[in-house]
Amino acid sequence: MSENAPAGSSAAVRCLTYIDSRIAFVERQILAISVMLMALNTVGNVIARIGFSSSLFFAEEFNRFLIVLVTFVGASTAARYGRHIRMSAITDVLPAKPRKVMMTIIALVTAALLFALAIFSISYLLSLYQSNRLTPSLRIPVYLIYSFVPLGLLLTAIQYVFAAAANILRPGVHLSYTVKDMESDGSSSM
Amino acid sequence: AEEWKFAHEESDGDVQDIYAEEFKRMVEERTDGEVSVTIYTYGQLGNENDITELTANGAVQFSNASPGHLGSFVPEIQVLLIPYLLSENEEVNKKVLSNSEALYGELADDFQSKGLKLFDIYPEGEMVWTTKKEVREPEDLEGVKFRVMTSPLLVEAYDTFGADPVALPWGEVYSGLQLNTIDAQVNPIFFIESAKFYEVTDYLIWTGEQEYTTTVVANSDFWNGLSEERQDMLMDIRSELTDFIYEEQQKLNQASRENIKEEAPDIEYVELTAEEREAFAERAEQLDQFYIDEVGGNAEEVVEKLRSEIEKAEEEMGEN
Amino acid sequence: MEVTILAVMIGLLLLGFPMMVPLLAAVFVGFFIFIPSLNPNIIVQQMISGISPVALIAVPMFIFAADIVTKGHTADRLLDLAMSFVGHVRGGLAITTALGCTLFGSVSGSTQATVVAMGSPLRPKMLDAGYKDSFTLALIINASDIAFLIPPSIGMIVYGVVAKTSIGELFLAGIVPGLMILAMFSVFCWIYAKVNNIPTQEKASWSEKWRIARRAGLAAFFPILIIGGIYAGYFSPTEVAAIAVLYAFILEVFIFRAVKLSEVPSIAFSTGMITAVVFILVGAGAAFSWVISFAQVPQAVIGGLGLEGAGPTITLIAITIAYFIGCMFVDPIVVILVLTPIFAPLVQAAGLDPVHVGTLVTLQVAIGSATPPFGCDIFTAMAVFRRPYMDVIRGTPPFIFILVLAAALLIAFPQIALFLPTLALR
Ligand code: NA
Ligand code: NA
Repeated sequence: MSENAPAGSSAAVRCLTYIDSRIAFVERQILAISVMLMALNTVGNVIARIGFSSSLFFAEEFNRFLIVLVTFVGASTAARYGRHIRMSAITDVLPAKPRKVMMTIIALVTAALLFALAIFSISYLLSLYQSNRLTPSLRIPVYLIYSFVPLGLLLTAIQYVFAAAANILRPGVHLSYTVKDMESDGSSSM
Repeated sequence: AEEWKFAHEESDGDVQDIYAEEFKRMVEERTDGEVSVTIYTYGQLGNENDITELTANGAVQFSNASPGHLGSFVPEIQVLLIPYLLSENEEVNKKVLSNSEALYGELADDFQSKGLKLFDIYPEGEMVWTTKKEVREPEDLEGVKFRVMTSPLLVEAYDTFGADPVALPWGEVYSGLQLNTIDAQVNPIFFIESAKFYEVTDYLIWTGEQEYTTTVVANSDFWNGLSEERQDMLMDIRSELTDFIYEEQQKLNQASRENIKEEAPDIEYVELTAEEREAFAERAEQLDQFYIDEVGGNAEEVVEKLRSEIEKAEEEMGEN
Repeated sequence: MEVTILAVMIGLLLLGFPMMVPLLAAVFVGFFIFIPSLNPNIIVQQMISGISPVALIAVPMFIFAADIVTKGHTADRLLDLAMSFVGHVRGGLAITTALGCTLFGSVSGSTQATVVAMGSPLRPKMLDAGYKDSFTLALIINASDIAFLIPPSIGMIVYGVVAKTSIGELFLAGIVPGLMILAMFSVFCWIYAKVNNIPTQEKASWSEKWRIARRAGLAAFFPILIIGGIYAGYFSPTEVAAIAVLYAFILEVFIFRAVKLSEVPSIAFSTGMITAVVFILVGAGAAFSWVISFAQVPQAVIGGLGLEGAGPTITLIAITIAYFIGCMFVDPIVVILVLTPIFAPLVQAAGLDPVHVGTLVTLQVAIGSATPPFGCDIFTAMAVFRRPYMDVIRGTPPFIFILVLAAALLIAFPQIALFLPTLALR
């Protein structure tokens, strides 16, 4: 992200940019490791079933945890790279100026919705915490398993705030802080 | 008018649905239409865990939950999964399951702390194994990939019986049996008919293992907020439902047994003799300890108290 | 309520909001305006619950495997092998794609996994051969959905349980309509290739075919492992997805050495991101389905139609339309769970064969997954192939037309579905 930071930006912006790049790095590691673990876990379960006539009792639960982790952490990554799916047919034909306004509104509304959802998810986690629900196999508190949900939603919301900021502060139409709309390979207009 | 929502885990016409429909009829009749009951069948409001959660947070007022699922809220309730725990005498089970101090008393606080009130427990029918080969003794289960619901206790139980337990969501059971990724599964006979498992099996085996029990829970705030009059009405309805559902359940299971015979005449029906049952029942005895270790809390008290309640009722009523 | 929610959804969709926004906004409107007493944390619960089914793990696994084989040699060699047999036929590659998607989809049990696993290697080949991208994408997503009709089919299992109908008979009933649609798609491919003058290859000699087959070697074993592994009962559909990853990994990294070990984590990363893009929508869709179901919207709408006492044909047409519309917006499995009990008395009153109805319903579910505005296969194709929404759906009308035609044929001639089960079981 740093290469895209506007010239002469303040220390605060540089600091934020640095923090975001560290978050991006951590998200990348989480996604890569989770997907590889999913494969290992599922393959291990097949081997245990066929080779040793017994299933790994935790395999299902672990996969479920990984899916939730990947979905909500990945949502933030996808927002950072402007990869979330949208129907751009109408905005694509708008001239640059209204498109920029539209993009700003879209990013702000999306962020607001995700913030609200993050708050609901915290309240959901609290209710899970209070009722002390445990997973059936590993007997881990359920709220721990889902603790990535509010975090992921919050990070995703922040990405959309950044996208709005990019549209307001910089020239051009931005899909996210790092990706301009209608960039090269068509990926951005998703 | 007030609306109460009742969510259950089965389809139209299955045991839980029959119970819910009768509950609805009685409530609406006795409140002179002041209360209407809306029933949600399987999957309409999510999976089994979802509907318990929805009851806990008050989105629905009543729901069914099987002990396996409810176990993630109140682990001690899994005592009902221990094979050969209940009596062979239906009357004994009827009495214990609707009045047990061990279940309704000991666990009341636990339920309350999860936002739930344990309303009723009833059996849906005897557990029947569907297998691809004849099974009469534990040795016959060697190498048999046996599907059980996701619960460490059930996995341990079928391991103890001598099978290779596989925990699988039910959506994969039919094709699993068809494609031989699993060899056996266990359910009440009405569900075996309903889910068409008899189409992909060769033997139906009655092992006297256990009744499949389900629990009805209510939202605790909703319950506590009811007038005393309404609570009394619901308790009356509950006790009338006990006789009603035992009878309906037996009719339905008997009918399913006949229907399967007609639909799939090649299936062999095997009833284990008392001696043969004993071999499995003996192995099941060690599960009390597993349950106590696995669940913790006041599991030990619950299982001991429940066993003594069953014993006492059997003494009063005779074992059969 | 229905109208407001629908207006919010379509409006936000057209304005270009990320697809999760129209879905979530509709959920929020339902929660805060129409059912304000509900605790909004149910939205989160349902989103998580929507992505929790264990079988969904097949989707990231096939994305992962497809990414590895497409980067490496397996996909190319397999396709060369297929082309050596069908390359000289007009539309041969497109027909192969249709067949491949149908076969793969029928075993993997996941249309999304099929879009990825078959689409990733086949789409570039089709583009090279001169097919338009809109045609290619539409073919991939629609052919993948035929799999719903070919056993084993999760849609049919769910319908069978809810409608108390023989799953074995449903499985048999789906085969002929499934193959019929595959044949109709193939004819369309042939016509498309002819009209657009897609060049054909020279017919390969047998010695050439043998040479290509030998070069494919272990790669040729890949589909055999997946399809054979399931039908022989070695693996469940979920398991085979992970086995596919393992096989792809060993083959490409250690045997072909076409993918470096150090590249694997970055493939896993991109798999994770695509999974998130699709699954966040699966979750939002689940929350949306829940609100609709909780508020008993379908009951209200269908109850208002006055279908009691309608004849069999009218009832069948009403069922078809209801499932078709339902699947446009809501997850197909939820549509089955919600609508089937509502229609059950009407089906019985009209004296319809539940197996016939089940086949028709499954067909609507298949159509719905690929039909705009909301369809998980559309989302998957957008995420994986990185194409805009309009590009993905532009080519679908002819396919939807064919599918609707198939539905009409199925209504007019129940024997298309009932022929096999009658022959085998009744
Ligand atoms: Na299939
Ligand atoms: Na759709």
